[in-house]
Amino acid sequence: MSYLLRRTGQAVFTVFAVVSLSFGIVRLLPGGPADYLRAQLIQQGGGLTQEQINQRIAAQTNIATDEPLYVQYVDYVWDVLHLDFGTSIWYNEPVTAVLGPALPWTVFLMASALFVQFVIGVSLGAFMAYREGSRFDTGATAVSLVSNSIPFYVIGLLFIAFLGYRFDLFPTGGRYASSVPVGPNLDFVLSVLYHGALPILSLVVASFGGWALTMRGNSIRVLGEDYLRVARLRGLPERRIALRYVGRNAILPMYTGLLISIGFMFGGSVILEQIFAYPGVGYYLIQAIGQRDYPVMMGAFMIIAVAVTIGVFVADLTYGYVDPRAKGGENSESY
Amino acid sequence: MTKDDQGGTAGGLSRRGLVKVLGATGIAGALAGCGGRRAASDNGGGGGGGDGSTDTALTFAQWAVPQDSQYNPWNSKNFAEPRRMLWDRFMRYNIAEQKFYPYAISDWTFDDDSATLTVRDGLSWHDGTPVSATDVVNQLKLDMYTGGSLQQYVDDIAEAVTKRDEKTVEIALNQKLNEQILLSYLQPKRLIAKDSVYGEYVKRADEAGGEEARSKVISELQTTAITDPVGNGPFKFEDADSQRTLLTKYEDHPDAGNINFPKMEYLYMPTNQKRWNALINDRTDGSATLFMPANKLKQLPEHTHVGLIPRHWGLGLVFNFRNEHLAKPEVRKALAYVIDRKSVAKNSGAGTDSKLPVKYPSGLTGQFSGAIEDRWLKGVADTFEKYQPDPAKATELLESAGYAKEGGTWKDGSGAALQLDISAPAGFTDWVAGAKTVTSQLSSFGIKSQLNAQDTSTYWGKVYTNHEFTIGLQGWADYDNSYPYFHFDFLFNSTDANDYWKVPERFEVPPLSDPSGEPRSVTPGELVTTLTESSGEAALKQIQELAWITNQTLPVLPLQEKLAQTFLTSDDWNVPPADSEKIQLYWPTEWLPRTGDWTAKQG
Repeated sequence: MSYLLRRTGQAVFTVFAVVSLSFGIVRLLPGGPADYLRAQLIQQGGGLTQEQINQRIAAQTNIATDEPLYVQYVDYVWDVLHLDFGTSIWYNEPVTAVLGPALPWTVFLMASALFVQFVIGVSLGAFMAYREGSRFDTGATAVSLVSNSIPFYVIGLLFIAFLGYRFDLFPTGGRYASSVPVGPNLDFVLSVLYHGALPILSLVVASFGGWALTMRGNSIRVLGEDYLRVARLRGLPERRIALRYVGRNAILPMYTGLLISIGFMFGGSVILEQIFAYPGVGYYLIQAIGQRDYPVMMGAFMIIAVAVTIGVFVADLTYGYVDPRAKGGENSESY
Repeated sequence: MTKDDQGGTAGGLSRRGLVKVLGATGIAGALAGCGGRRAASDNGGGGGGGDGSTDTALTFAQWAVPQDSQYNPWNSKNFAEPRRMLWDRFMRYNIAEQKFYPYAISDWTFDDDSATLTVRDGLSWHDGTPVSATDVVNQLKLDMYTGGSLQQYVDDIAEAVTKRDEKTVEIALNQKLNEQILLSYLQPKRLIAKDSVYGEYVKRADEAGGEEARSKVISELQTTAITDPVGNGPFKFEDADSQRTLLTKYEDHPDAGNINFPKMEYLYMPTNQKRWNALINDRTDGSATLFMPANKLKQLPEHTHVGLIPRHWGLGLVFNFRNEHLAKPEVRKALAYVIDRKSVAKNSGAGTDSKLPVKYPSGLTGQFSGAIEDRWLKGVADTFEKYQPDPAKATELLESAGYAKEGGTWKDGSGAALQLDISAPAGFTDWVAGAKTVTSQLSSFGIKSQLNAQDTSTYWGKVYTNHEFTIGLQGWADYDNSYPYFHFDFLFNSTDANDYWKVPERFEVPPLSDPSGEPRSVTPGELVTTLTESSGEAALKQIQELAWITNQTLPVLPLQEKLAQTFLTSDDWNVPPADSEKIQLYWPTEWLPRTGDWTAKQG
């Protein structure tokens, strides 16, 4: 129980630390929301005097950037504790109203990509281990290494250039076709999958290799264990050995990695959504950075921080149940 | 973009594409059936009908996510591109002909101290109510209350703009105003201020007790977002999602007969690269304006035509007059003799014909059409200094100002090196390329110069406005305006000149009639003000005088004039050729459909 409390405390502290650091860091960016708006107004022309520009900035930036930083910080933390994440400077709407509708789309992309890459990686890794030393193993290892070495955004750019523009096979932006009615119908679901295909695929292609190589290594280690020889001598069917003995034991150490990845993938969404013009949390974060929209930036950072923390937290707390040998963190044994 | 290939365009679910992708999996058959039904119903429900029009949507791009866009023009955030079709402008202006044509304002008359505007007959809002003089009054007043330039020519906004009858509006001016200037202010306005939407703000601003109360009303207006706009243009707003804004033809618009397609789409494309690719791959049907470098232009299909439209504007070097070196006219002139404007324009144009080196640095635009020599400086052009690259003259000027070249570097009287760095907005890549050329030329001549490219909003929002630059980059004219008054007003009377560059009020200049004569003191700002009231020969004389002062004092150094690229496609559309005078408008994508010069090819 004390472990649970300690671990929960660590998680809360981590989120708090990230929020505090982000709060300081975003304000270290050169320029602020007023500068961004001033820049917009100057570029629009129209002969506004400096006084008129200042008046418009005062009207349109609702954040009290003139107050001392510590006052702003205390106010912000107090508001966050009351689940008030502030009001976007650019959209003039609550941050939850800006990021809330975008969040499910990012979760959809990331969850689908993670699921697919994990399934492909684990299956491929297991086959490679079983065929260790074969041509298939050598070839698949090379492919996995290449996959693991290319950043997802490079693959994303290649996909959009060739599969999107050149061969016209996939859409180059958006969440779903504008012509389909939104709702629980087949056209809509297909359209969502079709629009998500390239972003998801670029993450999958860039990451399945890592999972495959880990799975291969784990499986080969398990295949050398004595209890497997015993199982074979007992005449157990190969299928049962592969799934229950090898598969389960090889996959266990990857459980933690999988949960941590959930959090980290939110960070990846920033670039991915920009490439595919996919308005999710990452898209709004990039916009907010450009516009120096502090509240939206903070909101997006918090989503990412909370996702990573929860991922690690859940992994820590549940590993003991998944692999009873670990018996939870209280035993101070790590796997 | 035709309905058949819409899958590719609208980011829509392309049946062909999907079938291609899924074909191998064996489920293509089922999907093709399903998609087939959808497509059939789309075609049946589209705008075909018996009127001979084709089932097509004209497709362009927009910067902001469509569902985040808003349509209150006084709220400067995300006022999205569909505005161009949702509302009509007051007038149409053809740059080639330099002529104003009636549009939402069908008639106008001016006398010495007033202007009368008449609303076009038959123009109505998309909810069916007729457009009235009250709407025009609202538009003019809100523009003035929010800082519009016309406010300087009226005494009391609330009293000065009045409705004479249901269709006529009168503006009482506080001075005689050159017709060209007044028309230039009025022409580009869009008639947006529908009384039922904006009337309340106008009433409250009119009745506000003082400046503070009025400011509160205006602040409220500027923070209001309108997501469900009621327009009066030839297309009305249907809906907007994360990818597309959809407009449908408004049959009651007076020019609806010129349009033979039922829909317009604006697709979300937040970067130049996406817009280039969309044009190259036929996903959009055109673009109002977009800078496309030569390597991308080469990839455009044959049916995509690129027109060039003068912006009456371009990259210039602006000087911080607080800098002790730049405050000396000899140094500014020396820079003009060192910099080779041709190579700057070439490098900044990235292989396109979109940048013209300025021939006469005089504050006058129109070099592409010969207007400077043939019209504004007719008979006196030869007197003007062209500042062609001439290191000897630059040397002479710097030496006369007390500088000396030692060890390849120019130094001032105290022995310190002459260092003139250039600050630039990093996002303006063509400008940065031009500025790099300038710093390299200055360095070769012995003037130390570095390029400081800053984040675009930091540059404009902080470095430029807080005058934290030595030499800055800025357009050297008032863009989109061809009449010289606007450029001189920008160079000598604007916020930029007064607050950011600190251009002095007085200059010493020899007379234009005797260039080698004794310099006399002039106040160009006052001359500009006088120009507002002048016309005909008197105006021309004043324009030449101001051009001469600019040429001799160089409050800015004009480097190039920009020609904007505009894109039209002819695979599915009948459009004028790229060199036609018909496209010399801001912008062809907005005007040509209205005038019947951009129609769908019959299917």
